[in-house]
Amino acid sequence: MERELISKKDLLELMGISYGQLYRWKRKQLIPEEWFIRKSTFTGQETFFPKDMILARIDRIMNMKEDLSLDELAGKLSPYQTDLSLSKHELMERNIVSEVSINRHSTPAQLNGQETYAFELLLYLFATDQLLSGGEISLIESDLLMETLRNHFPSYEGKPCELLFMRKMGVSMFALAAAPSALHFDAGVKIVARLQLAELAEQLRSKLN
Amino acid sequence: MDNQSRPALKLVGTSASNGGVFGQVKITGECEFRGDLDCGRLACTGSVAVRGGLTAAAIKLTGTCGVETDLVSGEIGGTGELKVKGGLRSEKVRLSGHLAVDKDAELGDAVLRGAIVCGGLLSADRLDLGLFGPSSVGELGGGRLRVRRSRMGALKNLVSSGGAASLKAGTIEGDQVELQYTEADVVKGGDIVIGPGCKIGRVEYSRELRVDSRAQVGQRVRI
Repeated sequence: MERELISKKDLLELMGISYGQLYRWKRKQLIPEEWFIRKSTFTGQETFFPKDMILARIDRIMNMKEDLSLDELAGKLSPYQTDLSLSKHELMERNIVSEVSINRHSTPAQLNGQETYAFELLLYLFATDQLLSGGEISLIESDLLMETLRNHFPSYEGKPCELLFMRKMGVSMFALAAAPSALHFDAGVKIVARLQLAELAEQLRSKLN
Repeated sequence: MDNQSRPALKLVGTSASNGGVFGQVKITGECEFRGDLDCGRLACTGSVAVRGGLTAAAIKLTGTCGVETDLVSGEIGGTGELKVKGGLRSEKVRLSGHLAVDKDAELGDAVLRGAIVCGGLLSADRLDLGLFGPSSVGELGGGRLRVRRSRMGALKNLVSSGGAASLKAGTIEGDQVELQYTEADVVKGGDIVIGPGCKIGRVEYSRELRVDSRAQVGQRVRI
């Protein structure tokens, strides 16, 4: 899926910000490194950004910087915000995750509303649900995915990582890899889905707020 | 971590440590850290080598400092040579001497005298660079950028053969850019002053451009 990009020059013009601000925000880690995409153009190297994400992010920075210092902002913008949790009822109401996924991957206490879902768990559910409702994985495979995420995602400690789902000769498997990574498989392997978890977290957050 | 669990460390002479988490670290002589070092204030007179990453609240350097991976420090000041094999991030830098960073250097307020070699992007809110030796950066970006040849640098050129005090860069981008003795493919910015000794392929400016008569500029584009 090719996403729309915006050049640095156009971005600065469109948002009315300066080079200094952009580099400062990058230094304060308000804008992730991976969003700076370098490409050759006829006037030499140019930097591009994923358009929808960078516009939304700059909008948030500009709105929030009036009341918060840049360092405080950095914590707020980290994609894996931890102080958010939802109950099953809220989750269903906002239509974030399908009922099938909720019922299959929740503890009894979560189902009857005694326990809420922490952000990380919401992210796992969200990722699983996307693949499940997209028809890419089966229900049984979704168990495996939830287990993989539960066991291994915390070890990335918020560093960017991606989720891969592959099949070979009918055998399916999941993998988590640090992003950006270059992975190569033999010819029999088909990568069914490849998800950037930071991006998913971003999408999930915009649904929650 | 609170102060109690951050012990101070003082090393004199030739020594080695496995690194760790410390409060104030004072080194006189030569020291090698065989792992990551996380400390409050690091004062070094002599030479220090970190075979890992270095995180410090402040660094005061007289001598040389080598870091195998990334260096993150609130402030960096002093004289000498600082070599970082990874990336560098610091809010305030006052350094005289040689700064070498293999990846990106992201600085807040930086005043540098000497020579700089940066493999990636050197960015700063405010950069004041006094050239004293051959310098090169992959890319230069930031708010206010000023590159000048220091007076002693001009004098040094007469007597030494170690290369002219000049800067080579790919792209330079800044809101206010003032350059001397700089060779670059593209310079982009708001207000741009191209001083003597510059060789610029293409200049893109949005407000004002001044070019010294002793500078060469290929294309000039107002955008």
